[in-house]
Amino acid sequence: MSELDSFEALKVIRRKTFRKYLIVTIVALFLLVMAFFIALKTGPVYISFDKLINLLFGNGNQTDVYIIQQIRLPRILCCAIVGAALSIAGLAMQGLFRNPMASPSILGVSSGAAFGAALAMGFGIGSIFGSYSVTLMAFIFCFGTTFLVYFLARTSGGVSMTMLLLSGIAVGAFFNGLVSAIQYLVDSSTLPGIVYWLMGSFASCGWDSFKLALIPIVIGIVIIGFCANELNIISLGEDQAGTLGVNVKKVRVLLLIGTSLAVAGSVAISGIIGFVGLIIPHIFRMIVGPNHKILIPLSIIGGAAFMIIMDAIARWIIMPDELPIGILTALLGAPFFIYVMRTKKKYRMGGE
Amino acid sequence: MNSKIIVVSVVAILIIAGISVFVWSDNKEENGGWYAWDPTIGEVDYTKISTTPQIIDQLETMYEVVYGTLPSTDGVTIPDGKELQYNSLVTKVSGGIEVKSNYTNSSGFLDTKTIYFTDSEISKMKIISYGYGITDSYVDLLGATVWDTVVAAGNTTWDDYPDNEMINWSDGGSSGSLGSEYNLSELNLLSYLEKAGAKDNGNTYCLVVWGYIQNYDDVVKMLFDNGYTNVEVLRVDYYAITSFEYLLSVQDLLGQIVGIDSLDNGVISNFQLRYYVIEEALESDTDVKKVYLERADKKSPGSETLSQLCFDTLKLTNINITKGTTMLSDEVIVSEQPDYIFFVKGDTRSMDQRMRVTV
Repeated sequence: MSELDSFEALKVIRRKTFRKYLIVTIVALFLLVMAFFIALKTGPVYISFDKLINLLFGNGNQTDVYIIQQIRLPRILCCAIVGAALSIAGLAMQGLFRNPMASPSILGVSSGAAFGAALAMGFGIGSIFGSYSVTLMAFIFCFGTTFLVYFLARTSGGVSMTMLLLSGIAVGAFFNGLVSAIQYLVDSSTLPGIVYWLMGSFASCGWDSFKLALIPIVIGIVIIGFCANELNIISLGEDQAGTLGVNVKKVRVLLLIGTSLAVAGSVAISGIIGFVGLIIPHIFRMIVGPNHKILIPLSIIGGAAFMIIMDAIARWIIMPDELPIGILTALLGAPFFIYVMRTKKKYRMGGE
Repeated sequence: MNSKIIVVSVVAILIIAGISVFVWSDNKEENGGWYAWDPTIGEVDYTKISTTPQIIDQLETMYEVVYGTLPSTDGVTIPDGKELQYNSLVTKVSGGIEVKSNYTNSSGFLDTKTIYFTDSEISKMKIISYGYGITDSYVDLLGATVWDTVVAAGNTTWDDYPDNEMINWSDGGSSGSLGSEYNLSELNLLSYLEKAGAKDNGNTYCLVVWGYIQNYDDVVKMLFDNGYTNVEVLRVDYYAITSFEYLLSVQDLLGQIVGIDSLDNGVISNFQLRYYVIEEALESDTDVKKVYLERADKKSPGSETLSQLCFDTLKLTNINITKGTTMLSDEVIVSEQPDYIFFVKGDTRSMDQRMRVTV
C-alpha cells in the first residue's frame, strides 16, 4: 500500500469517527433535553405540557409556579450535576486504576461521607454548620477519606494502584462498620432519617443544595477534564505513560482530588447513589471507544440524562410516594448494564 | 499538560463561581417555603403515638395545637353509655378467668390456646413483659403499660420486685425463640425467675409476650423442665391494636390477670375520661381542617395508622391518603396546603429545613 493510500484511508477513518462522535453527542444532548422536560412534567401534581414553559418563567397559577420553580427545577438540576459528577468520577477511577469495575466508591469516599452524615444526624456533630450540618459533614468526611486512603497507601516505594485499591476497600469497610454502629446506637426516632439518607434521594434538593454542590462538582469535573489526555496515556500502563512524559504521580493526585470533589459534592446533597459511575462510562465506552477526550463530555451528558430519568421514575413509580433513587439505580442499572455487556460484541478498556 | 494552565483555570473558575453565587444569592429573595400559606405548626412525640394508653397524651398535644386550651377533666363524669366502649378479652368462669392466647404451634401455624387463671393465682400474680423484634424504646413503652396498669390500681405486690428492669426486656436481634438453645433471652428469663425465687415465693407469673414468639411450645417446655410450673405464657398481639377500643381491651386483659376488675382499672377510666372531654368538645365541630404530620425521615403516617386515629378523633383531614407510613411528595403538600403541620420530637433538622425554606 502506498503512503498516499494509507494517508487517505486515515482521513476517511477520522471523518467517519468524527461523524460517529458527533451523532452520539447530538443524540446524548437530545436525550438530555428530553429527560429535562419529561422530568419537569413528572410529578404527583398534574401540570400540562403547554403550561410548563410559562411556569418556568413565573407566569401562571402561583402554586404551580412554586412547584415548577422551587421544587422540580432545582431538583432536576441537582440530578443533572450529580449524575454528571458520578459518571465522570467513575470514568476517572476506571482509567486511573485500569479496572473496569472501578467506581467512585472504590476509594471508600462514599462510606466516609455516609459516616459524616450519620454523625451529624445521630449525634448533632457539626451543628456549628447549622442547617447545612449533614451536607457539610458528608462533604468533609468524603474529601477527608480520600486523603486518608492516599496516606494509608503510601509506602517507601511510593503509592501504587494496588495499595490505593486495597486501602480504599479497607477504609470503606471501616466506615461502613462505623455507620452500622451509629445506626445501632441512635434513638429510634433518628434512625429512619439516617437509613433514608443512606439510600440516596433528591427529595430534599432545592436551590440551596444546587448552589452548595455546584462549585465542588464543577471544579472536580474540570480537573478530571484537564487530565483527559493523560488518562488516555495512562491506560497504556503507568510505566509506559512515564516514559511518554506523563507525570503519573501528579496526574494521580489531581484525579483523586477531582474525583473527591465531584463525589463529595454529589453525596453531600443526594446521599449514596451507586452504579451511575460504573455503568455510564461503560455504555459510552462501548459506543465510542476508550478515548477519554470523547468519553468525558459524553459521560457528563449521559450521566446527567440518566440521573434525571432515574429521578423522574423514582417520583412516578409509586406516586404520590417516592422511591429512594439509590434503590432504583441499583435495581435498574445493574440488569441494564449486564444486558448491554452481553449484547455488545466489541468492548475495549483502552490499551487492549 | 501545563500545570500553570490548570492553576489559572481553577482560580478563574473559583472567582467566576464565587461572583455568580454572590450575585445569584443577592438577587434571590428568601423563599418562605411552607410558611407561604401560614400553617399552624406543632410538635408531637411520635414514639408515644403507640399502641399504649400514652397515645392520649399526644392526642391532647395535637388538640392544644389545633383548638387551644384542653378542656378540663376536673369534676367531669361521663354520662352512661357515652364512655369509650370496649370488648373484654377475658371470660369470667367459676373460680377464675379464661384468656385466649394466640401462638405459633410446632407445625408453624397460628393456633389459639385458652389459659385459665384461678382466683388464687390472680391474687399472687406478677407480670413479666417481654418483647421480641421490636425496638427497646417500644418495649419500654409496652412495659410501662403493664406497670401503669398495676400501679395505677394501687396493687402493692410489685413492691418486692428485685429489679424493675428485669421485668421488661426485649430481644430485637435474636432468633425470637426462648427455646432450648439457651440463648440470651432464655438466660434472662431463667435468671430473673431464679433471682426472684419464683419457685418458692408462692407467686404466680404471667409472661406477657408482646407480638410474635417463634417457639411457644419450647418456651413452655423450657419453663416446665426448669421447674417453673407457676409461669404461664400469654401472647398479646400489640400490632393488632388498631383502635382505641382494642387498646382498652388489652389494658383490661392485663388488669384482670393481676386481679384488677374492669371497673377499677385506673388506666382505662383515665383514658376514657380524657377521650370523652375531647370528643364532647368537638361534637359540633364541622370545619374542614387539613393536617400533615412529618417524621424526621420525611415519611408521613397515612390511613390505617395510629396517627390517623388521632386525626379522626380531632376531626382533622389527613392530606396523606395512602395506606401506612409513606413519603409524600413536597408537591402534594404545597398543593394541599395543610392548615396544621406536625413535626416530631427528635427531628434534628432546623425548622427552616422542615418548612423547606430556601435562600
